[in-house]
Amino acid sequence: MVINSITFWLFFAAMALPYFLCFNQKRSQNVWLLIASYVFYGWADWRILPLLVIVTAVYYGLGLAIAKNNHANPRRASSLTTLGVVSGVGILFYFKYFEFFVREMAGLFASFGLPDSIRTLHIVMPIGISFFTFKLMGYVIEVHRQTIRPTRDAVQFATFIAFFPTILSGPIDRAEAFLPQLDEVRHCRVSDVSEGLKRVLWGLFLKVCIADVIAPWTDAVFLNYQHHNATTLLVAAPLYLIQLYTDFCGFSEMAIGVARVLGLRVAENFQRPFMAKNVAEYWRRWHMSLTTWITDYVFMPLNIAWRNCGQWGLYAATLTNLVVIGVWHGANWTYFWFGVYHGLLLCIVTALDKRRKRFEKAHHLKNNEPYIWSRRLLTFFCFTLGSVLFRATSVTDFIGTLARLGHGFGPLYTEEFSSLVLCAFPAITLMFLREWAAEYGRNIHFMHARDVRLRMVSIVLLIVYIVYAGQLEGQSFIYFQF
Amino acid sequence: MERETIYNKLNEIFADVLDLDEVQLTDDTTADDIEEWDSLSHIQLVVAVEKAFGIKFTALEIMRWKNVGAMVDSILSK
Amino acid sequence: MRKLFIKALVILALVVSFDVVVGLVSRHIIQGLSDKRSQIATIQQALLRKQADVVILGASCAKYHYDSRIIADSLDLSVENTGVGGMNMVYTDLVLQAFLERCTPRIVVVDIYGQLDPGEGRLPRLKPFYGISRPVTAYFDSISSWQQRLKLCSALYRYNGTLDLLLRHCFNAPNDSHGFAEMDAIDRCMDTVEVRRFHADESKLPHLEHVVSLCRDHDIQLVFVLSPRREHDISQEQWIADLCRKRGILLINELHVPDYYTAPGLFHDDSHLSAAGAHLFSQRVAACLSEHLR
Repeated sequence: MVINSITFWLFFAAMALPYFLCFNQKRSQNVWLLIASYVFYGWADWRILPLLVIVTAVYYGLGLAIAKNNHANPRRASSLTTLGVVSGVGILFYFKYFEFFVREMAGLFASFGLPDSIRTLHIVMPIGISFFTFKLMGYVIEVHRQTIRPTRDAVQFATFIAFFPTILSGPIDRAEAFLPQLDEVRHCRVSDVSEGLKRVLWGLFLKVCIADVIAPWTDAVFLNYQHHNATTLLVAAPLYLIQLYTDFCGFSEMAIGVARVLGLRVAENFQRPFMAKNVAEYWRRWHMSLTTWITDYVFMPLNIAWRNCGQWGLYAATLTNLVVIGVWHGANWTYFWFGVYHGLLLCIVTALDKRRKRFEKAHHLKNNEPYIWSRRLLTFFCFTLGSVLFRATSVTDFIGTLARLGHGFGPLYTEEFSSLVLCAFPAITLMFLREWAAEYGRNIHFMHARDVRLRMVSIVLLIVYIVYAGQLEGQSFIYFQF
Repeated sequence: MERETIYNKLNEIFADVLDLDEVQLTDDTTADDIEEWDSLSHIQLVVAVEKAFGIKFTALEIMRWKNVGAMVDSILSK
Repeated sequence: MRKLFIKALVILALVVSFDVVVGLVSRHIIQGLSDKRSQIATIQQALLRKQADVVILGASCAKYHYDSRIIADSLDLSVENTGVGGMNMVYTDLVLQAFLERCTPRIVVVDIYGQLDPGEGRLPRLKPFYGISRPVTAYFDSISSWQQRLKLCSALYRYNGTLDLLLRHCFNAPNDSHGFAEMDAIDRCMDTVEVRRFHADESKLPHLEHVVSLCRDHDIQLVFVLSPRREHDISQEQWIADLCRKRGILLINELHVPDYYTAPGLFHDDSHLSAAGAHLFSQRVAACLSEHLR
């Protein structure tokens, strides 16, 4: 039941109407939300539902136990938190990385001439596991840090973990922001419903008119990179970055919009990353719910622990931080090197930070538009290169792709390119215009115009564009696999 | 040590680390109030404070601070 | 809340009216397409217009291998090549049904290699003909889930992506070769490789049966042809040979004919012949057909 299917919207209608009409107490609303979330998750993969219920129960108990011991027995509170983190990482490791490790080990043994008797394990990776385990771990850490009080209401906690719009692919919500919202009755507000639906529409537009239109073409290029010239690869690389962004941002917008209709605000996931002026800023605007999570729970503790090592401690923490972000995406060396690549970029940015500021001051560049745009372009380029590594199925493929650049330019690969030109390029232009305007505090008000006619016409045209020009038999979301 | 003495010392440290001309800290000051105070300079601040007062904070203490007041409480408890 | 409801209704009404207008305009344009080499025109002509004594059905191999003019000259019959790249047995079945609504061909030639492979290929490209061509409408009605059928009610959905096809149509040359298209050559001899990986797609078998029974009922000579190519799927060849023997279908097997593989320049890529290759192929097929007709 994907969010852009008719089935989902029927499910949503069947869920939302009683939610607002029949249940007018916070508790009954939460129970109903929880039932709907479990139905939704079970629909995707019912075999994993027991696992979800069990870990939810365990972490609920852990939260209460940690809070109880925080003052009475700090040592026990610490070890309980460690238990929570270790078991979270353990679950993630088992389902996501174990098979990879076994395979790599077997390869290693084989290279020493030892017999490798290990067969492939075929562990089914539960969908959404990377997202809900992070919610669970974040919760116990926050309770231990005393930034939140644990909830006593088990239904509330389970709803927070299993909340259906975000369980499959984020945004990764924080208990601090989400739980208090479950503590109040949600009323059906016109502003929430209309804003939510507008975000869903915009997300759908990004997904269907940009990401899914680009996907077949970039697939054709990167899966057969041996047959393509530098021109094609140089066009495909930035297009893939745009595809990745619109695919995931599109999903996030839809998830946020669906939650908003229900009167709940979930974490934002993107903030115009292409307008970032350096790599550090880009990471603060890209998949924010994940990067802030990892900054809070990996980077900060490491940075604090290594605070007396000076700059090198900072670099080590930065590198670790980005490698964790990279490896979070899955068990593949490409993700590891993706992390290393970005970690090194960030270290360079940090190292040059003071000098850059001095340079800007000396030449009065702070508000110089050409200078700012050249920085944006450089950042975009760095991420484009990173996204090729991210896209590659193996490190060998990545090196092979780069090597193809040396084979010279030639005519662009134009098979099925016309749909890109007709559908995706106008859509990308609209997206960039909107983000560019928003970055400068202006707004292209098309869906939020003051004039109601303009608003409605914009919405109608967007719907017509999606259905007439979009790629409707599109693929699943890229981030579902993570 | 008096709270006020600590604040005077902290103001100096913050101005020095964050490269600002003057800082006026209160119990309620948070990172949101000072633009230059980000997650990177935060660590530098911690190191400078530890050095100036000759103390060591635990990691958990540092992460539990919600504002400058909490930091001062930590210093006082040492 | 009432205001929101009214706005939603207005939006819905506007979208529906857009839908109706786009539907009417697109339908008019597609039905009136001239006979050009574009993909959409090839499909439109095959489903709505063409009549011939000999009909060639299949995917890209049909389109690039069968020079209609050579076959027509040799047999002294009218020939139409309806091959469209990426299509499969389903398309073959639908085109044959569409032809039979207009005329009864004497010979139907199906380029059979790969027609039963899994996957829907370019079948979604037939969506614009839902509601225009009877066989296509019946086909989509039979396979669609209720969600799909709901979507097919919308003209915007049916004509999704046609703007691109129609624009490309404008830049195409007229179809003066009865559906045949020439390809340039690679400058070497093609090697061959044997594989065994054939599994007939269950969903396509009924369409195969349907083609066979239609030809039997209308007294049409059905011919299956295996075109030359690099990959020789022995299990597929065996399966088709068995089928032809059992059903009395004429099989022209060019897969192993050495002439294609010993001279350079006869292939365009691993699975398609060049213009020169197609010339040789068409002559051989035509000879085979005329011999059989005699």
